[in-house]
This record gives sequence, C-alpha cells and structure tokens, in this order.
Amino acid sequence: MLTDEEKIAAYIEKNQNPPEPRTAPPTTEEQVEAKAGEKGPLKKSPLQKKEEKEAKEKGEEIPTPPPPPEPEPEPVVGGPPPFIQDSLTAAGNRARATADWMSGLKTPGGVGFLVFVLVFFVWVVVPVNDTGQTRLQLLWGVLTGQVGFSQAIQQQRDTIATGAINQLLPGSFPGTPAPSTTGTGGGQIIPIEYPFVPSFEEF
Amino acid sequence: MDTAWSDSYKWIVAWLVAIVILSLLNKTRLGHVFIYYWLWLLIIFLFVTQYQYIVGVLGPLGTPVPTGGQK
Repeated sequence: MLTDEEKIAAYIEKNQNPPEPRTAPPTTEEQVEAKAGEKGPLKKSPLQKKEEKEAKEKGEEIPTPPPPPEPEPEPVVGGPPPFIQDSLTAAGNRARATADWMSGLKTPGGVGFLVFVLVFFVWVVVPVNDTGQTRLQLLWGVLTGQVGFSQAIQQQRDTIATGAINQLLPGSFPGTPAPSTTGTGGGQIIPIEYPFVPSFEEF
Repeated sequence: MDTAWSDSYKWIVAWLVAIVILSLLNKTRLGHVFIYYWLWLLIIFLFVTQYQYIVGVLGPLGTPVPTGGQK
C-alpha cells in the first residue's frame, strides 16, 4: 500500500513532462500543399505543354507564371485596437452561436395555428356593437334566439331620418336649433311628427 | 381628402407593409422561429390581460337557453 507522499511523488514524476499543447488544425490550403508535396509537382495541362513546345520551337523563353501577390501588411494605424477587435470578434461569435441556437428551436404547430388562436381570441374579446357585445356573444345570441336585429335596424333608421330632417328643416323637432332669421328664402315649415320614416311610395 | 377614407387607406397600406415584412422574415429559419415565439408571447399576453373578460364572455355560453328566447 502506497502512502500519500509516495502517491504524490509518483504523480509528480509521471507528469514532469507535460504533453505538448495542441496546435491548431491545418487549414485547407496547408492540407492541399501537403498533398501536393506528397505526390510531387502538379502536372502540366495540355495547353501549357503546347505553349511550351511552341515557345521552344521559336526559341523563345518559356514564360513563367507570375508569383502570387504578397498579402499587404495590416496597417498599424486605423481600425480598432487589438483588445477591442478581440472583444468584437468574441461578441460576434457569441451572437452567431445564439442565432444558431435560436434557429434550431422547434416550432410545433406552426405559425398558422397561432394565427388562428389569435384571431379566435380577438373574435371572443373585441366588442363590436354599442352594447359591448363581442362577435361570439352575438353568434351565441343569434343561435339561441336571444338577439334580434330588427330593433337596432329600426333605431338606426329613425336616427338617420331625424338627422336628415334636422339638416333640411332645422327646428322641426323640440330641442333642435331654431331656423336662422337672417337667411333668405321663405316657405312654410311643416311640423313633422316623430318618428318620421321617409317613404318613396307614391301617394 | 375624406378623413374616413384616408384613415382606411393608411390602415390598408400598414397591413400590406406588415404582411410583406412578415413574409420576408418568414423565409429564413431564424425569422420563422422569431415570428412563432412572438405570436406565443402575444397570445399569452392577451390571455393574461383579458382573462376576466374572456371568462366573462365565455361564461354565458355554458348556461341553459331560456325557453322561447328573449327578443
């Protein structure tokens, strides 16, 4: 049986040379270069061979492809400082991760079901007439015979008729403004009994 | 311009714009999820704030109908 000191000493001895830190995985370009290096230089295309052959016949020098342009060094001045740039990058990564997580959420039922529920609620809640009844209440009243429309239609007809008469012949009804005495024209004001329902039938 | 008509016109334009924006938003997965949970929030908010009213409206639907109706 090992004592604690012996265990600690064994552990220290075992972990004296920690493993090398992991390096970043090679990029695609590095992988392609490594593969190309394994299989030797890239083969020339038929067009390249033909051009080289023609150039050799003419005694011209074989044109070498121009070297790839070197990447421009990043400007020292301008742009956010490195620590802010790091913060921005970290924030962007976190936002991207959040957006990915949100996109992965399930949406059972779909949007159509929710719109239907919302429209039903509005149908139940919003009052549509002067007495504060909703469409659901009106439908229930009509189905059970508790709501009739004839009275409302009669009241509406009377209101419209009274308004029209007051506009044409002010003062015909008690409580309405008297006709202006400064106006021109004359004629006899015909008193009309309330309620007056206009009719287009011939007398 | 007539006030009533201009008001209706504004509402029609507003609804059309809203429908177009929501359709475009719904084309992406993220937008679809956003609209979905936004509608859930709206429904929950509506139910919580209008709970008494909804119960009050739905209550009479369970009561027996008076004989002969009441006109």
